[in-house]
Amino acid sequence: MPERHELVVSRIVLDVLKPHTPTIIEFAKSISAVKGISRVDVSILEVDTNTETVKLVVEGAGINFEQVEAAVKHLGAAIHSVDQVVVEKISK
Amino acid sequence: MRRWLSNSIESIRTMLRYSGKSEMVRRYFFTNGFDGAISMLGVIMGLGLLGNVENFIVVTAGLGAALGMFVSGFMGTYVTESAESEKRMRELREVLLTDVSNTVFDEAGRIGALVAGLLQGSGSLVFSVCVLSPYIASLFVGGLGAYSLPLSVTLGLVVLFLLGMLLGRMTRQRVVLTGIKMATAGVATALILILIDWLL
Repeated sequence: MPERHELVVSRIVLDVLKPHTPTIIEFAKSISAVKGISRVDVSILEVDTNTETVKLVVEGAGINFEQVEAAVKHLGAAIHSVDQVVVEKISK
Repeated sequence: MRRWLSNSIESIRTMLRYSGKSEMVRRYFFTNGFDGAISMLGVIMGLGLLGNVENFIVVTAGLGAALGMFVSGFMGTYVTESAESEKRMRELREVLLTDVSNTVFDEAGRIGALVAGLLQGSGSLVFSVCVLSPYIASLFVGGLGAYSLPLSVTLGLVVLFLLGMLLGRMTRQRVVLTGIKMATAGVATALILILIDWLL
């Protein structure tokens, strides 16, 4: 009998363009409120007059990308690209 | 209750910051307060110089002026700041090249304009009613009627001085000097009114 397992997203790295407000601290705290996320890492890559480009790393057990995308959008930011995804196989 | 109040204040502060209105609100609360106090000083002095004007009439005229200043402050700021928020949203949309409706900025723009309007309006209302308060008190406390005018004028000057001090503290200037400047404006208003009364 084949082993039954579930695929869960455990890490996503995103390239995000955001305004200067909210700050990256507030931004990280808000993203961490998304269900399934246990760790958020935000680093500034580039700063412009009105915006900043950040690398957003979210980690957790079973991340829902749509929810992360909605949270990012709600904060007035835009996802430019999904740069890395880690999916894990969890045995049921 | 205390926690709820502190959370509410914090979220209003955040909204004002996101909408870019926090500095403006702080500054204009005092400016409108100054307007309110000076205008009420003018109303009280003007009616006081006429002589034989009942305190009830002064209170009615004063409250009417205070309400007018509240509505004017609220509407003026709300309409202006709503338009400003729209402009900010347009700029943000152009910079981010994405739809920014239903974001924190959208909420902050709407709530920020409303809070800014309420704070501006209440700035003039609170300080003008404060100057009028001896007249209001005289309607309930017998024997205070004769002292209402000097009390109101004194209170008006004290309010202006305190407003000046707060403004000076906020803008990191010499607090006593800014306080004196504001109070001088009140004295000047009173002197001009006395002069007009004397000339007429």
